[in-house]
Amino acid sequence: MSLDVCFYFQVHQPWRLRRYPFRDVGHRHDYFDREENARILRRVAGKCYLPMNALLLELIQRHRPHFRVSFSITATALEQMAAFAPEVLASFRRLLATGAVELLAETSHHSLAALYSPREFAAQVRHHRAVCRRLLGEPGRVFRNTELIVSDAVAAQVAALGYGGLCLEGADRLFDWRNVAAPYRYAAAPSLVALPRHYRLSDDIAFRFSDRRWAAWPLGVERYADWLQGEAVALPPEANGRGFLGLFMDYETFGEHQWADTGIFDFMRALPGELLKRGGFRFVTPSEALARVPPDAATLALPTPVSWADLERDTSAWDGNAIQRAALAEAFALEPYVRHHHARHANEAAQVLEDWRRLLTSDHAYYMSTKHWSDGDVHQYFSPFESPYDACINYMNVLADLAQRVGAPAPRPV
Amino acid sequence: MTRHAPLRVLMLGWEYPPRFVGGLGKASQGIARGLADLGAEVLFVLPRFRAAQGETRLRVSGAREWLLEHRVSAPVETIRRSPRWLDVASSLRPYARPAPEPVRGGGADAHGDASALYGSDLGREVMRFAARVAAIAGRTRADLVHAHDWMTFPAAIAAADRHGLPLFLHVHSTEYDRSGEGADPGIAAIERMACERADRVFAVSDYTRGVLVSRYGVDPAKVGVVYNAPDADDLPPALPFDAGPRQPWVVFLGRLTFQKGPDHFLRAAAGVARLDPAARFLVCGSGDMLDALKAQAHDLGIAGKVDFRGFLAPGAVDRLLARSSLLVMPSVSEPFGLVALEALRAGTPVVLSRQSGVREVLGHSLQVDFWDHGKLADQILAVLRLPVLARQLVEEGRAQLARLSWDESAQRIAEAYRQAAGLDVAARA
Repeated sequence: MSLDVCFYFQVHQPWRLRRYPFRDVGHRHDYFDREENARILRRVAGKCYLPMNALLLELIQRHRPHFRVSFSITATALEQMAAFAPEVLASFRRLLATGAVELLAETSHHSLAALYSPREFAAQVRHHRAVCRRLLGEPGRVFRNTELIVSDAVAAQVAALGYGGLCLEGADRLFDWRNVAAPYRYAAAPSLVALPRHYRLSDDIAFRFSDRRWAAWPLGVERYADWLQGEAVALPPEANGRGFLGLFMDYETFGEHQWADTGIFDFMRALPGELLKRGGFRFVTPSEALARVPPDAATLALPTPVSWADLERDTSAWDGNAIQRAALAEAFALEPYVRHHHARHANEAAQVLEDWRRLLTSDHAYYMSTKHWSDGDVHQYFSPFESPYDACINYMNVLADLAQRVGAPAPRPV
Repeated sequence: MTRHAPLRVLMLGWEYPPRFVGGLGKASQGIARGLADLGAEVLFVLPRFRAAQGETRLRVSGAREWLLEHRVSAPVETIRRSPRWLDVASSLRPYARPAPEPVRGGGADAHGDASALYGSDLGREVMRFAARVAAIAGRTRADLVHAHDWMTFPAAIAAADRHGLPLFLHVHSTEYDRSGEGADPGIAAIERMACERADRVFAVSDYTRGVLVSRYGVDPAKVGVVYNAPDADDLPPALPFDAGPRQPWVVFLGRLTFQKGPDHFLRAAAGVARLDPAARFLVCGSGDMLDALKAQAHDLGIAGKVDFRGFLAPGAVDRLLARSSLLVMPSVSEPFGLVALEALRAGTPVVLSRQSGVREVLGHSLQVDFWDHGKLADQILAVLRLPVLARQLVEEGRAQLARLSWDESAQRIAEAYRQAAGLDVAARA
């Protein structure tokens, strides 16, 4: 009984909007807060990207050729690194040069296009590949969609683009009694391998690690390795003695969400050695994980979207209320106008298209979430706005200007 | 301590429905009823009240009427023995609003009219009430005194001191909310000293609690927050926001005084008018700023878009709100802000000053610092052009308000009675 351990780290930064009052509509087209975005990116680079990249490089070299990790990095993050902290790009290139690091494919702008526009989805996936190739390197054959949002329809789109695997949340309501470590494919696209996130073991690191009220605090590598061994022992027969363990998390877990003084870096420094010492564990990249899944593996059907967000593990963090749905509908309704404009005005077209895509980044809708708003929760922790309603107003103001630029009719009242 | 008689609360107030329809009276009623529902026996005394009003365990009575009924002679001499600081200047301004407005039915009744309560001899009235209440307290065997706002604090202290009763004060607004830096030193002194003397103080919001602590130096540990709740009939089950029949009207509703921020409303209105030619601005209320506001509207170039409607009767308020798109409450200092609940009752969204108490319980609202006219203008413009936003604000706001109840407020008060004075409402229910 052994486990393939697959670390995948999500790296994303949105282009945050500046305060854009309605009086600017028709007059000013600078939507984004360059200084704030630069400040945040540099802060995260100093606390997370640079030290964690250095640590991973050290681990890859020490355990060569056994340790492997993978990243999914949005184009919005890559462009901001290039603009504000190019040394971060250089350190990612060093990691990729080891051959032990794989890039996942995704949408360029961390968008919800897969749910709203297959055409824009495919365009953003191509754009992401291009940006990765230009700044970093070529992504592999495995796809991960924004916030791990997956449904039958999303799986079909991803398969049609030629990918061999698609990451998803190992949600209880999806797997129920089935073991997430077993091999699966998608019912809607059997050519596509399902790579599930083990949410409990992932969140032990990503969320609970520094929680002093947690029974397992402080978490040491021995105990965590025991848990992983427990997963190996519990493998079902269909795994054929080799299971898959997806440890997927935001990269900002290291140093930004869990500060350095929580011991998170020391934990990660010790973990690979501990697992390799015990035996029965192998680190794999997502592409390597595809190989062990037989063509006749069990299939997963996802009639409604599953994500890794909130307790609901659905899309309600982005489209759970009326203002979010209206904002998303308005934004995607501009697509034909943006494309038409693109065809006619070559000189400023690239900027218009890029502005529109930055507005499709899911974070903007996330800031408008009113789930548990009265309790003040994680949504607000990440939001640059005082309230979801202020986020909505600012976004709709920007959208009104973009609509004018591309000659779209003023949004009708919803 | 186990007694079978219910806890007896001597509650003192200055307004009570239907005699007054202001926020103070409605809140006092909600609290009195909530405590009676919990099992306390409440005698609510206010200076004058036409007819004794009885509900289960709750009796409302005028002080004079109560004394007449119980054949106690009015103890005029106690006024002279009152502590010096009780000598409120007889020239006190009216309490927080022009006298004629809040009287339902209008005109003088058999027991004196509103100008006697909020008129130029307010100081004498406050002291007369104190003397009468002290006499009443001697006859009622109350377990504690609970008083609403400064006019009743001298009476509450007189009663508590003479009969050794625990003293609880309820602050619905402070002199600084009503008058800002023009606060009357005599009233401020009463509020400060009464809070010092009290066993426990209830503030209607965390905002007001902060005013008490910072302005009067009240021990924060002694001040608890008890939010107002909407009455059951404030939130009828179905009155959804419907953009169809609504006019592009933006409403200000309140006294035209510095503290309510009507001038900030007009400055934001000017920003809105430039970008939304259809928007109209309704200023509803009367007050000493009326002429200045008209001049300001003229200077801002929006005189043709601002409609000064004067004071509106309650029914007219509801009808107007139901046809309007938005209510703005730009108060400079607002202990609670009952007008927000009135708007939501009419299915109308609200923008709330961040210098208000009601925003603490109404997160589903647009909020703005009263001085941030640019942001306020943007919020107004958004509600006018985005019905989806207006609808969600109303629906979520109403759901949030529906979770507030006078029962819960009463329970917090009962808990304070227990902690501060060892008096238990529930055990004796």
